[in-house]
Amino acid sequence: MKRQKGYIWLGILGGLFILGVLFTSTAYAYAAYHGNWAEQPYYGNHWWNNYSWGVLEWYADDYWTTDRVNALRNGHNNFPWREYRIEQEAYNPGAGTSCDRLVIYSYSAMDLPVTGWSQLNGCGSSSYLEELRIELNENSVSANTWLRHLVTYTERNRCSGGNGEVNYSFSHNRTGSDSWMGKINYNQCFDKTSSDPNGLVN
Amino acid sequence: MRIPKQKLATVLLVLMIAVITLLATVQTAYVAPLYLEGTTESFRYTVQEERNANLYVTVSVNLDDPAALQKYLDANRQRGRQLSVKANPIPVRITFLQPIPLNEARVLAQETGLSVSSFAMVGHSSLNGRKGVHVEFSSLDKDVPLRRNVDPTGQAEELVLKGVMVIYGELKNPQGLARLLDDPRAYLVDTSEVHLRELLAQKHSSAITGKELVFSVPSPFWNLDW
Repeated sequence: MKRQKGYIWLGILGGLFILGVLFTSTAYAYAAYHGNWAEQPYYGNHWWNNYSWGVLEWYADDYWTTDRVNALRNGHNNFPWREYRIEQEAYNPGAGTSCDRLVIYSYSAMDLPVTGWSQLNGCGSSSYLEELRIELNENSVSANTWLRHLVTYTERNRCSGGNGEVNYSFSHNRTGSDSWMGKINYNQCFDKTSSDPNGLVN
Repeated sequence: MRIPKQKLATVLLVLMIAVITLLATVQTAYVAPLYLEGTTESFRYTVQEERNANLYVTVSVNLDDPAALQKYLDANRQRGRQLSVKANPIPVRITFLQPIPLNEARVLAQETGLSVSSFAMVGHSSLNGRKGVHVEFSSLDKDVPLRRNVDPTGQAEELVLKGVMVIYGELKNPQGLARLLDDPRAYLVDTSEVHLRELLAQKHSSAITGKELVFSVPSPFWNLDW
């Protein structure tokens, strides 16, 4: 009887240990995006790796629910056949500030299906392109899983250019607007200071 | 008949509000972003005005419809043959049937006089084989490590690249286009931008004059077998 109880306790402790390991290994920040477009990703989970040698990595994991993937495909496959895109804006598009600070260097995606990409001058000098548009392959976007991409930037005026922000939006080719999903604020040395929605960035 | 001053003032006030509302609406409509759209025999297009007044042009093709895709491939091949006897620099987007080694892509660019602005390499996750892509916004000159860390969580997931799958660039001479069209590794040599620039100049010249046009042209690379 004593031995049986011991096994039960051992089992409970083992279970708690496994749960603890699982919990600590997946305890990353994520948040529901701003914006109310039915086709946009529901959750976002971002990482901000700022390196002292002047390189910044901005990871974005996006999560579409089943309803949202269905809306995305429906909008793409039926009249007026929208082409959806993510607009990764390393500046403040509303005020036209934080210009020429982060210049796109490369882009990588893991399981985020795309058909193309464009670099644009968001604001400031046209020599420095701070906006990346990622054109989605709508029918290949999976629901209920995290789809990751990473944009690497070269930092400019590090620790001398003032505080700034980057923004993350969703749009398509048949509208004059976009759906603003969130932003990350940084200090003059590109260290992240906050995000909106709160908890978006690790 | 005499109208009381108070009534007259009320009517005038209502009229003024109506005129102001109308003007405001007209003004809003006038300053709304430029939006153009149209179709060609093989694709649809839209033109959106940017905050900086430049234009973003999107080419739209149903890549999941085999018939629509084949039509698009054929139209580009036919247009390519026609363009290959013209002298102007030709913007192209090349999609390969399979990923090709970076060295082969460099040789191809040299042989065809292709000036590369960006290129995409494709591969798979080291953990679970999921598809991935890596885009460099530069020429093909620099070396690209074939294993790239894409994991900020410390689980050491890497994107293992197989080769170059898409190239954006400009051909300096038309003979290079003929050479590309004959290359069995090239699945699509896309010259839609040339066609669309001509079309917009003919149909909407006043709307595009003096503006920078940024083109978004889809590649079917994700759906190919790699």
